[in-house]
Amino acid sequence: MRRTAAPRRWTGHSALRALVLAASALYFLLPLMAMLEFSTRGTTGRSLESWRAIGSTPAMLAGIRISLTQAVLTTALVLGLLVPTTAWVHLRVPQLRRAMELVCLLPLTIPAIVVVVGIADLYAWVTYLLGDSPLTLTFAYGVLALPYAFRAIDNGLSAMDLRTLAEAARSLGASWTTVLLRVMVPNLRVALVSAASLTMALVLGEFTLASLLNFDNLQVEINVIGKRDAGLSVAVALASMIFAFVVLFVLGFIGRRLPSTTSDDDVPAAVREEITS
Amino acid sequence: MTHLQMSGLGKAFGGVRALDSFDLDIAAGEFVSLLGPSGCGKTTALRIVAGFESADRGRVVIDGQDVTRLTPDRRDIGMVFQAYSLFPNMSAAGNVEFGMRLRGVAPRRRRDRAGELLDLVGLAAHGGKYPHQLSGGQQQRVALARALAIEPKILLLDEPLSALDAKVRVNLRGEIRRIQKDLGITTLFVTHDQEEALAISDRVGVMSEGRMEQLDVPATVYREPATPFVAQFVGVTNALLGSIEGSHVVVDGSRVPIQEARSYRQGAKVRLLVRPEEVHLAEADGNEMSAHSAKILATVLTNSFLGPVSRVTVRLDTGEGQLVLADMPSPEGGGFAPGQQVLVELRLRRPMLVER
Repeated sequence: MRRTAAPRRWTGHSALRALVLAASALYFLLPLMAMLEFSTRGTTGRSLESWRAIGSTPAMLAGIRISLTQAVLTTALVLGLLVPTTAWVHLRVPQLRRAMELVCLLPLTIPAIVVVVGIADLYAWVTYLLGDSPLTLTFAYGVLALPYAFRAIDNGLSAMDLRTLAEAARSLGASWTTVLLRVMVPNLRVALVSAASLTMALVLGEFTLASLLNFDNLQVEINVIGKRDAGLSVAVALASMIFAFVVLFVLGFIGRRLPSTTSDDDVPAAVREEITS
Repeated sequence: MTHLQMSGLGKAFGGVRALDSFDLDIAAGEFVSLLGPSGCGKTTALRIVAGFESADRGRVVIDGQDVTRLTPDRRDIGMVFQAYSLFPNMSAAGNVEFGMRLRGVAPRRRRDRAGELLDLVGLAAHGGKYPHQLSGGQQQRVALARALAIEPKILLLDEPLSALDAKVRVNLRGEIRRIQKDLGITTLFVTHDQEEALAISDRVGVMSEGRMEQLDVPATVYREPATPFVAQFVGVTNALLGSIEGSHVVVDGSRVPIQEARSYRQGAKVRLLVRPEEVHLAEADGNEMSAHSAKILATVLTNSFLGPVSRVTVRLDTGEGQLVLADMPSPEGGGFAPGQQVLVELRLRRPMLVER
């Protein structure tokens, strides 16, 4: 009886899972397919004209270049600041972890428009000192990316025995810089890739700050061009989303290839016997 | 010649004193264990030698050099930790080579040396494996090889066996001792496992509340404990309640002759510390008891076979009915059955009294 009952429950469970999966896929894929359909409409049928126009529209190319540069700079800034700081807090002042978490998560609770109002004056000084390049938005984006990057890095550091690894390296003659670069960073790969991809996704999709502070980036250009060429605008939006998906796939691929920890129980009995003999 | 010297070390965490005027000298090539209960300061002492904690007072001298203010990376020490500490991103060989790489050892020399050390710890065939592919025992062996690879002046072992199962632990501690003797490396070993400390050390230091209670060879620490704490912490000890009467301690109505009793005031309440192997049992109607020893009637409660001895628990029939453990050699000890009445004789080698 049990043998027949179990597969029935399993089948029901599988069907429910398939249904949820299909509904979710439909929910996410339908708008993308609609975008693809819209961006490939031509006067007499399907056309890749809008997609080709991405490469021949200087403003769009400039927007892509600016956003990609902003994404790279913001990622470098966030990782460069957060990794050593978070590691230091974990190692030396763990009592400050809650305070650091609070500070890093704060941008989540502040609407972008409030941030703009708050930093508009500050950006007058930034513009005065560093020029009016849209790349100066890197500083503001760094603040916006803090919650996501911090969470990823903090989780990564919490998952390893950081203190012991650092002390082991120090006892072997490693300086703090060596500990950071040769011990922590390689073992934080997943967390760093995760933080980097979240930061890049945030920057590539950011519109409010750039628009209200009168800077150009990809999303601002999509908005501007969308008013005169909707097909091109939708093609670029879809392309940027595909780029984000590719980043996530790369992240998943790297995550699968990384070794996981095992216990003694996972070691074959023959190996254990060899150790004890 | 003293190779590692800790003198007058003091350390407090908040208001708690972890080390209090702690002194320890270790000769070159010596294996010294620090033994004590949790919080006694043994790990703090080791971490101060390593440079991971700074001492509030006192100094640490390694091979004639005062290293008290040096950072850990400049102390030339090798350390094996309680937790698995291999770098997960490096193979076993990569871990062993890490310290040599930092010291600029040529790649070929590094590889050869790593191979030699992995061979030394019995893992020559496992150099290419990553930590997650190794068992706990193997990881600690690699950690030992890694610590030895930099040819440190001092080897520090911070309870490296405590996470391993019993059989692996016993084997590995023997290997650690063999390797330490082969290399002649000065070693400081911290453990809370007294059997481990007594089995592999040249000297054992028993610590309590940040102080060294006794530092001596293992046999002396066990047989001639310097303080009541050592007597009670090292090995199993019966603490029999009694009172002073001249040169005797009266335990449940029986007079046990003890010279040290004279130094206590008459009628003082004391505990008489007795090892289970100093307790001899005989059938109540037997006549083999010594004429000069105390004999107390008791009833057998349990009898546990422990291999070479049987541990018999008896309840004294007089007074407060105290429980006494006796280790009787097998197979003689196996003959005592629960409920049986026996005569308890204390054959004290080094009586120790503690005032209550």
